[in-house]
Amino acid sequence: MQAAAPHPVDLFTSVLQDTGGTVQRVSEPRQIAAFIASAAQEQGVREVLYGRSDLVEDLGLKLLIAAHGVELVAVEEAGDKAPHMRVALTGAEFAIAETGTLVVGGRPGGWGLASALPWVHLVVLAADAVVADLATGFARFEARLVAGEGDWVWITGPSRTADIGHTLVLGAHGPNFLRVMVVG
Amino acid sequence: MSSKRDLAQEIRDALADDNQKAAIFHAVSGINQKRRAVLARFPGYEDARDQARRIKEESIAELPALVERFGEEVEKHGGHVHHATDGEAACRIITEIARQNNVQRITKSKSMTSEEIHLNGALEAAGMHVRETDLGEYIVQLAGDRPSHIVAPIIHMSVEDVRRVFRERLGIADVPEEPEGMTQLARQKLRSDFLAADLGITGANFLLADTGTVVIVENEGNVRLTTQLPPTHIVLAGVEKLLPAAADLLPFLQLLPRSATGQLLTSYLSFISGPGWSNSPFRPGAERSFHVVLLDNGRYAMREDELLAEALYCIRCGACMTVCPPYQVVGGHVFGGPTYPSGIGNAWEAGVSGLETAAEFNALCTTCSRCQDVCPVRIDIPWMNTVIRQRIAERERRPRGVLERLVYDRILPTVEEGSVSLSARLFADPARVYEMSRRQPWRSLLRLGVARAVMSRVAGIAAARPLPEPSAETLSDWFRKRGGRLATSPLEARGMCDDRRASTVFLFADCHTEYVDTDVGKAAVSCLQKCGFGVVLVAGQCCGRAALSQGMLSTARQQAEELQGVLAPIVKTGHEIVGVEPSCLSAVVDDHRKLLPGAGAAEVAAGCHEVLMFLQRRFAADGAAASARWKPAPEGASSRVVLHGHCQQKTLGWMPAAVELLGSIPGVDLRVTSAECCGMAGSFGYKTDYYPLSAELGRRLVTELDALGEVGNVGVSGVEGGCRILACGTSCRAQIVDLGKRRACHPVQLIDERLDNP
Repeated sequence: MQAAAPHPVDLFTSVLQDTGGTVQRVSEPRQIAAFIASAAQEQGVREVLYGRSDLVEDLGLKLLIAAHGVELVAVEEAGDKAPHMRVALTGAEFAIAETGTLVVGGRPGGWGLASALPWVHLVVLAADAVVADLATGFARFEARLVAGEGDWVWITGPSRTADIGHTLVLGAHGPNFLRVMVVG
Repeated sequence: MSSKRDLAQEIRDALADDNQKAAIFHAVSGINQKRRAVLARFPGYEDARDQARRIKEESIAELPALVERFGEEVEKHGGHVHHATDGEAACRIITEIARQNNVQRITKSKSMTSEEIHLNGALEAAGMHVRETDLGEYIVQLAGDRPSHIVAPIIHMSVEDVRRVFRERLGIADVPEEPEGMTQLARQKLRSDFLAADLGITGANFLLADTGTVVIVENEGNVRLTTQLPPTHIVLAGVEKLLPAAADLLPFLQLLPRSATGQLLTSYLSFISGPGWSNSPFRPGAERSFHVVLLDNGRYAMREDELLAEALYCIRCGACMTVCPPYQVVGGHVFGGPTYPSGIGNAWEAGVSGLETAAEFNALCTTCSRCQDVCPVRIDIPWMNTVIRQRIAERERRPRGVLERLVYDRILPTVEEGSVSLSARLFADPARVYEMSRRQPWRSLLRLGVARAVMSRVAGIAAARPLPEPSAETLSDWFRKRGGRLATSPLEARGMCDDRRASTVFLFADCHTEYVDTDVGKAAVSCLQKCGFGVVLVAGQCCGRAALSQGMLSTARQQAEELQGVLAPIVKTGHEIVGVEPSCLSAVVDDHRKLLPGAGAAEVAAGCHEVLMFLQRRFAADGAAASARWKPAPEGASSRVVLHGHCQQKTLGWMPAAVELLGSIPGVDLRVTSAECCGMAGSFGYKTDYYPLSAELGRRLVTELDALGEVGNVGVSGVEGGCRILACGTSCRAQIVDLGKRRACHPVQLIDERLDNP
């Protein structure tokens, strides 16, 4: 008997973990807010750099996070503080399980810097936005690129280097931690 | 260009640098292991390679149209495209954009193209401060060094080297000892450069013509900060980076990270389609600008060059360097030009710097073909380097001297025009050299020490290297004496083919098997006969491989034509040809197609088989009955057998059958080496200039053989307690015997010992 293919979210979780990222399954907005707030508190900060995301807005996370004493500060309003903020939050348009990849962007936005500057990058992702394989994910991506959404980043794990002594080190110039909350 | 390089001296210096050798070897071993592991789990690999190759062929063919389309799309997004005919023009354009934007501080991500045009120097001369932000490139910049690998720029530096650079160049006394701490130190230093920069310069991995998108592949995140933080972003890209459409990108995404670093995907793929990319909070209201500088600098000329056009398909994964045996020892500063290292680097330097520059390091390519095997777009790098070698010889050609006409032309005539060195003549014609050296007076002369001294002086043959000794009786003499049938000419071949028995097989005896390793030929005859075949021997005709390795294409072409004349009638009548020496067989099945026009060589190739593959197929067809062929393992013999794959045997996909066949022999416990090459590579290991490098590779192989052999190799057949070392290549075996003082035999010899008579 052939083994059933793993659920895309399970596959995504294990592949992303291989790259040094982590995945948390969450169902309730309150749970997400608590997760984000505790990630900020772990880093000793009360402000989280925010790259605007529809999912975050739709879930009403801003207020829920504020209840923990943590504030989301949009990239556009962060000014000179932005590069010094340890924690950032963005959404992702979709994810590819086969490669453990988050596809972020579409049109230019705060997501760009919020996913590049911090030490800890938090991502909210809808469970039904995880596609199983690269070919499917790429086809979806390519259609949007051709339709005129020209600016994206594909993120597969925390930033890394092995330049010195061929030793892998995470947190080269970008995030050292990539924590994905899969919603639903 | 600087004064002419002394390659032999550079090799000696690199070999003396134990610290650098250890750093390179540690890194390449790790990268190769990761790549192999990730490719083993990628069933779509070969399909993706085919697709990528096809797309690259189309892209380069349609290049002018793609350049135009890309330009239109970038302008639609609000960006600007500039065209630079050469490096100087590109530097001028970029400096001018920087000036117009009052740029003072520049951050840069890794770009070999910018190295090619010496961009940093031009910007600094214009009074701007340039900071490399890729960690390796940052260290290169601090050290005043240059990258030695296109993906891993400081692959030649040890951890301690890097620490010293930080200590001395940053003036920091207590630099952390571990890579992690040093990386964090660099992160902090470079963060302030990122925030202060008013211009970011990057390269590009791919340019998508239909959407005007720049695709950049990276791991560190420095590309992301370089492209987003400063108000101006300039992309410098060679025109060959263009792909027709976004839809074409998929196979490259599957191949590039796997081939380069053994990753499924790199941490970041940036897709940038204009100036809107960033939403920088630091300069609210600042107008952003986006420029792409498309560089020619010899690329359009390469495109018109039948040979060098293939180099434009390169996606710069660096796998060809990482697996390259000479590169693995001496690194990219020695085996490389001003910008591009190793095998593919020779074609690139020929294209962008000129043949003169390529000539400085072309000789380090042994044409072993390991690079071809890992190239994600199947570039035939060894062939390019062979033809470049010929072009170099043509360019440097002088008329034949008096000594040549009076002496060399009589002893070792050549069809090549102009002056041809004694060394090239000797190595290009093994059949004649072996035939001579088994006869008097040469036979006695060559045994004199003084003869070796003369050869070393006049022909550059390493004195330390034992020469192959032809056996008293050639394989064909032995075979004829036993009443065997020979095909040494087209006429004889046709005569033999009248015999239409399907059970007749033609054994192609290459020069080495015919003259030197006759035991291998005898074992092959015996194996084939035990399998029920009648054997006809094809002997006396060189395949041309040896001449090819000297870049002597006319000689190789003539030899190929003659051998094809013998082989063609055999294949045409539906008979099969078997060969035991992978180099020579690869010449027949691969190089002849490139040397000779028409479809004939391809037809012959289809009828030629490597002996282990041929036997394995035969045994597989026999199914369960095959196991009855084997004798039981001799008592007291070690079960451990170590196989070292020959370069072409691996490249042409002949290894799996060999492993399966040898592994199926009862009582055999098979291990396979991971060393890419024994280091002999035909004539390479015989030449004084390259002998030390060849010997270093040989010692590495012997170290691995000993580790895999475990029980210590006595290696002599039938001797108690010794493991067996097997190698298909004549030169692999010579290397193992000469340098390792180990015994090695061809796998057919073990198979013959263990096969029962039917």
